[in-house]
Amino acid sequence: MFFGILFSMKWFIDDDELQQGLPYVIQIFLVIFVLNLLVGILAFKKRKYALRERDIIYSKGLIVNSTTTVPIKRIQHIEEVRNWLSRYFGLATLKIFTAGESGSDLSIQGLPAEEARRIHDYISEKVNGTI
Amino acid sequence: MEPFDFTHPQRQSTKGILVIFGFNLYKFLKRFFVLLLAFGLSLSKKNSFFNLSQAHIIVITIVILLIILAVAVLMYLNFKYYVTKDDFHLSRGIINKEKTVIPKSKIQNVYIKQNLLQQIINVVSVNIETAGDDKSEIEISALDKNIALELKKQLFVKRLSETEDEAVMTHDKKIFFKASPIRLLLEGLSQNHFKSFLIIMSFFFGLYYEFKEYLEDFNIQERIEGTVQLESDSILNFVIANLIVIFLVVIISSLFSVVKTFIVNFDLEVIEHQKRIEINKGLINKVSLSLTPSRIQNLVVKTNRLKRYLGLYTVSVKQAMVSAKQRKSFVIVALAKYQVSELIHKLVENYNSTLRKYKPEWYYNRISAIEMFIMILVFNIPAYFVFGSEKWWINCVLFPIAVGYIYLSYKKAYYQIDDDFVTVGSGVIDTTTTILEIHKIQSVEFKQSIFQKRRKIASVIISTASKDTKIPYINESKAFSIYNFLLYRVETQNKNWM
Repeated sequence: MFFGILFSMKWFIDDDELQQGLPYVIQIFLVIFVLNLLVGILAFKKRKYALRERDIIYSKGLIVNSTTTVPIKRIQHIEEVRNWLSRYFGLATLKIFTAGESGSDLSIQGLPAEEARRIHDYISEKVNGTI
Repeated sequence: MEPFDFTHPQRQSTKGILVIFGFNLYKFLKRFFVLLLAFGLSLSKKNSFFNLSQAHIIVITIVILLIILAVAVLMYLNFKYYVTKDDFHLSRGIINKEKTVIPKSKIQNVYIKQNLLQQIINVVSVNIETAGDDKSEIEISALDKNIALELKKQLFVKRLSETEDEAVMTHDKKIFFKASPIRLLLEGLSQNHFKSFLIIMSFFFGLYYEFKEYLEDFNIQERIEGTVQLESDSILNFVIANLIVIFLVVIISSLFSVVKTFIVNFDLEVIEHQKRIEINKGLINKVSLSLTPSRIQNLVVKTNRLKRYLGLYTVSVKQAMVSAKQRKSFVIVALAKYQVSELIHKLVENYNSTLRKYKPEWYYNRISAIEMFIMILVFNIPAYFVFGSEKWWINCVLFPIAVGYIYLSYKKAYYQIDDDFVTVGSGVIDTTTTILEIHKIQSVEFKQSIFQKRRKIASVIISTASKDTKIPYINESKAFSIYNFLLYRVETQNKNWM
């Protein structure tokens, strides 16, 4: 599918056309950027997490809402990621990995740093306790 | 078979040099294929390349071959393995020395494989696979067959002997299933030929684009157009020509399917040991692998209308994190129906297939209809630009296909749940049944779009270590209770997923 699109693009678009169409391309990217920002702001309300005795739940998505639950027993490892931007704002991303395919991994973004630390410690303790 | 001592570091069979040489040569050729091709072409045109004479070229070739051979010898000399009570040790590497230790308890699978070269010089390669990523996988590329079998036994037996009696393990084995050539032939014939057709087509187009300029020298394009022109004089000729083309395509595609099935599944055998199931198959690449039931994550049973009529079922066994290339080897084809249920009972205990089947909501059809509508659009829009509005009749073909798709996919969709298993049926042309054990679930997802929320419909996606399974478009409250039930079962049981 992907190759098909690439192929047809190569077929139909000449280099010259690409040169002329550059302003349009930039405009399209701008529109996508604004839309993305809007959706991001609206979808923020839908991002929720919960920590229960035996599992951790994360819910997200504005148009397609999904709620994923990972039993703590099945967690392989847990990661706390802070890049320079989130360090500046005092935030952290918590990544929770299972043995499943990438779709079953949780990534909770934009947690307050100490909250992330707390969850991290709680889960690590639980995971180590069960082994 | 005399017991073989694996406790001291040792090398592979001396023939290993040849195998490694072969592998490296193949890798080299593959990597520089395009370069060599260009080289060959210019050689055939001008009889020289960068002003090099033929003698020079021969010398260069020999030097390259010698270098590859030297690398192979060094690789062979530096490759040592041994087995201790609990671990498998391996050291390898010419410049970067690498030492690997695998605890026996973490070994997922041991395959024995034999490709064409290995068959000729009569050695086998042993693959040791762990649940980690591809890099942690180990291959010993040349061992004598009985040594390999002994090694495999050592790697497995020690682990199992904690619970089982060793002697019983090794002796009690029987052949559960052996695919006869006729069944393989039928299996090949009843495959999805469309797929084979696409493979052949893409292969030829790929070749065509590679050699485009070269072919233009021969004026093939004009010749083909010339013949087509001749035959499309009258409509009758045109129809006949098209029929011949279709006929040829069907013949070639099915031939391809049959040959492929034969090569991959030649001599397919399912052997039953005490606790393991062993699969042997392959003509050019002989593969032998064993499955341990506790490592199985999903079972997928596949058939289609024609195959069901012929009594042919395919069972794929999915284990944790096996790379896509190897996943194919877990497929057991051409099983009869009773063999399928026996095999399922062997692999998973207490499976009950007679539970009530629940259907998805009617909303399912709406989604399929939208999918089909998009497909028809995708067909129509380019067709309109290329052919104009004359070829609208193609929709007369597409529309019934779309309706059939919607009808069949709804008819085949169902799900069953009991205390230990989830079974999901799906498919359009194929009938696919996915079975998973609840205690092997890694995570559960409850998914709903805003359109579905209004209609109180939701989907549940169940992830295991090898596959995501979706129970599509069911009633919201039902989905929620399934979601909670699965989590409850996983969290209250103390069973391990592997």
